[in-house]
Amino acid sequence: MKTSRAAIILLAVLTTACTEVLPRQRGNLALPQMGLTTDGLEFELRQHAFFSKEAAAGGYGGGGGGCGCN
Amino acid sequence: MLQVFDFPFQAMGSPCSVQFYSDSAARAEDVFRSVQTRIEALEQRYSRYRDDSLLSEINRRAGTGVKTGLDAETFALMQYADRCYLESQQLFDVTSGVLRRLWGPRRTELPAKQEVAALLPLIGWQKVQWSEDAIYLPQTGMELDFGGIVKEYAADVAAGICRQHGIRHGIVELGGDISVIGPLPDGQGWPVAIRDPRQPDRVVAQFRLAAGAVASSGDYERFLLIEGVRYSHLLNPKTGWPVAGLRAVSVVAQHGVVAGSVATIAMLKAKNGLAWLHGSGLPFLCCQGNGRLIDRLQY
Amino acid sequence: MKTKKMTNAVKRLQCAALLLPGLSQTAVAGRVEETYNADFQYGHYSESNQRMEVDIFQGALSAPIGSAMTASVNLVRDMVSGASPVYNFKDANGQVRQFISGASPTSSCGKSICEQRDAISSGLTYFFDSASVNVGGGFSREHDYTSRYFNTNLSFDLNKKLTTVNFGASAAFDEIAPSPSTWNSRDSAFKAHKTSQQYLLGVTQIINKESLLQSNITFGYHSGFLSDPYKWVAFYDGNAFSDFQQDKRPRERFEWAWLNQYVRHFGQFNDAALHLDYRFSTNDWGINAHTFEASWHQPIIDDWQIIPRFRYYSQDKADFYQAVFSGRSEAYSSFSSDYRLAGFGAISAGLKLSKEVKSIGYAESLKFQTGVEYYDHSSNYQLGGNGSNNFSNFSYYLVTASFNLKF
Repeated sequence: MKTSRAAIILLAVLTTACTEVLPRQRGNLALPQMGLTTDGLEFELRQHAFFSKEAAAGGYGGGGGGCGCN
Repeated sequence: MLQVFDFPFQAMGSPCSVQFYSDSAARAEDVFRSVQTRIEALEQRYSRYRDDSLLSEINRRAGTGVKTGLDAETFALMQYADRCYLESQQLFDVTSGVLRRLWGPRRTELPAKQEVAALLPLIGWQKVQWSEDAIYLPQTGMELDFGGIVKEYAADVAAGICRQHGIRHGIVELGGDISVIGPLPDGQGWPVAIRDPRQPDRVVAQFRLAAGAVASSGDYERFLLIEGVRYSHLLNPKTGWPVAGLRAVSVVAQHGVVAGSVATIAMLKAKNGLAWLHGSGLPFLCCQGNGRLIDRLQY
Repeated sequence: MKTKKMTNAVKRLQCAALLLPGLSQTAVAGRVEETYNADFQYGHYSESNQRMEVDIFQGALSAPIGSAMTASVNLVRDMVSGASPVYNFKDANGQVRQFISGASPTSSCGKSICEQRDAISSGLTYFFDSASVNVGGGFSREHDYTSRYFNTNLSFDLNKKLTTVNFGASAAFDEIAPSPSTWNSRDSAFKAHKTSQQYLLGVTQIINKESLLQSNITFGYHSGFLSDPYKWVAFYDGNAFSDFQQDKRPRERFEWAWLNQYVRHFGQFNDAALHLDYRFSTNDWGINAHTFEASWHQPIIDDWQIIPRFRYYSQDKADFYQAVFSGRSEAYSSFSSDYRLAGFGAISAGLKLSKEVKSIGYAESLKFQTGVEYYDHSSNYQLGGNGSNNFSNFSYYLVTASFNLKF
């Protein structure tokens, strides 16, 4: 099934040489454009728009409230 | 409003200071107190000058068959000392402190060759039996000396404590080794000056450190003058004699403990020390035996 | 401090140094913010054919408390006006068409929908050495819908802070009190409830010094009144109208989703960053959806950044969705013609510009951002779809402008 193959690939990525990144080298990872969410308010607004017009939900966590979105 | 606070104090046998910016004098006092307490605690555990230290307990039990338990921090320091031993081709050896008996500060004449030879069997980190839980020095007379690691480690820990308390601009200086808490409020580095090892009031290099640490090792502060010849306090564990080759080394690294070890290892490698420094990839300043200065601080 | 190649010896010393307690660095996964943050954003949402327009005002404030906590508060006001599809019908040629609620001269904004939604939420995060705990809650109110929600999140750093594991749980308790109108035949005393729960299990992994990956699995369960109180379903016998009922959906929904987000740094492109997201979601209403998003963050000169963005979405239809039904409503346990439960795809593209000014007055930084996104919903875009719902196609554009102050 497609999902389990993707799961195996994901596990492989997680276990490859991940232990050699010294914090001093994390400079690039700390750049603002490298953040998983670079603009909190815009992220909420876009996700709210998508949530109001599409049936998919989840993945991002956060757990905001419901709305009578039409 | 941010104000600068300066707290000079004495620790680890050297003049020290913590300087940082804070918007509250009361908070600054609290932070300094935390730093001082932690440094005092480190000294209490690892100083060879204190009979009640963990280090002294380990040393007293040498050859008695009694092991000493290790906590997480001491084990981590052992691992670090082990790594220094391996990377320096066994020149950085925390068991070489026994040689102080022959090369102590008030010595006025050179020790006899037999005296040095008699101590060599007591030296050798590979002889120490240690694990995550306990450590044992197998022969009476063996000694551990963390002098080359603890002071720089304390500077890093102190800087970390300040950061945890929300201090974003400051430095910690323990006897000439500097760990940066954070840059000056305008983003610039703290001005650091390195003195001429033979002429303390002459500055040979100046630079700005915005992050990381700088540590120095050399024959300028503690040395022996015997028959007009200067002998370093750094001893080669394989020969039992002081090293001779470089006058002083200063290294910049992210952590003071690494800067200090790299500098000390450079001194221990004597004539090969400069190659070691070049190969380290870290910024450094090296004053060779003939007085020549190699400045790679801007790298 | 520029890093030239460090010999392996020094690297090994560095690694050994990191084992020393008290020397651990702050991880990428976002630890104690020592600064105060104030954000404000304005957004304008506008659908095609003048269907719906929304003005959105958002504000957020976060502050450090002591040395280990951060508190935050978030406010939103949506002002909605316009029209929306109510039901589908067959026209004279037997083609399915949407009926959009018309203008309403008596309403406060002249349109059939005039709505204002206000929401406030707040959170508190406590940071330990290698872990953090967050609790929060909020309240959202519109004249016919109230929601109270709570959430909590636990985060653990492992593996020298290269790996972060997240556990999250949230719950929402909604009260729906639809106002009687042309399109809601229930009386004013009608009140319904909906309860939602969501659980998250996620991992953020630093792969190397240029990239990281986040993978989250979420499980959601909703129960109560899940239908849309303003939508209707038409039933036909051939081309003749046979029944007309309000939207009726099952009283439970179980859903799960798997999201993967990949971020990669490109030093050779002036520190640009690529973001790739893929999410698969499915629920027991029969809707499987794929979301794919890509964005490229390109720094230009002087703290300016330009960010193009692309998104593709596809879902299949709910088991109980049909554009129009045949027969009579008694034959069906659930039925809905809501275009959001149909099979369709959506493609969107956007562009954002940001500019940061560092060290301004007493503030550490002030950042301005503005963006525009165009979203096109079409039955033709559905993966494996047959384009049968093109009658409900629409598009929207969303414009945003914001500023963020760090001090």
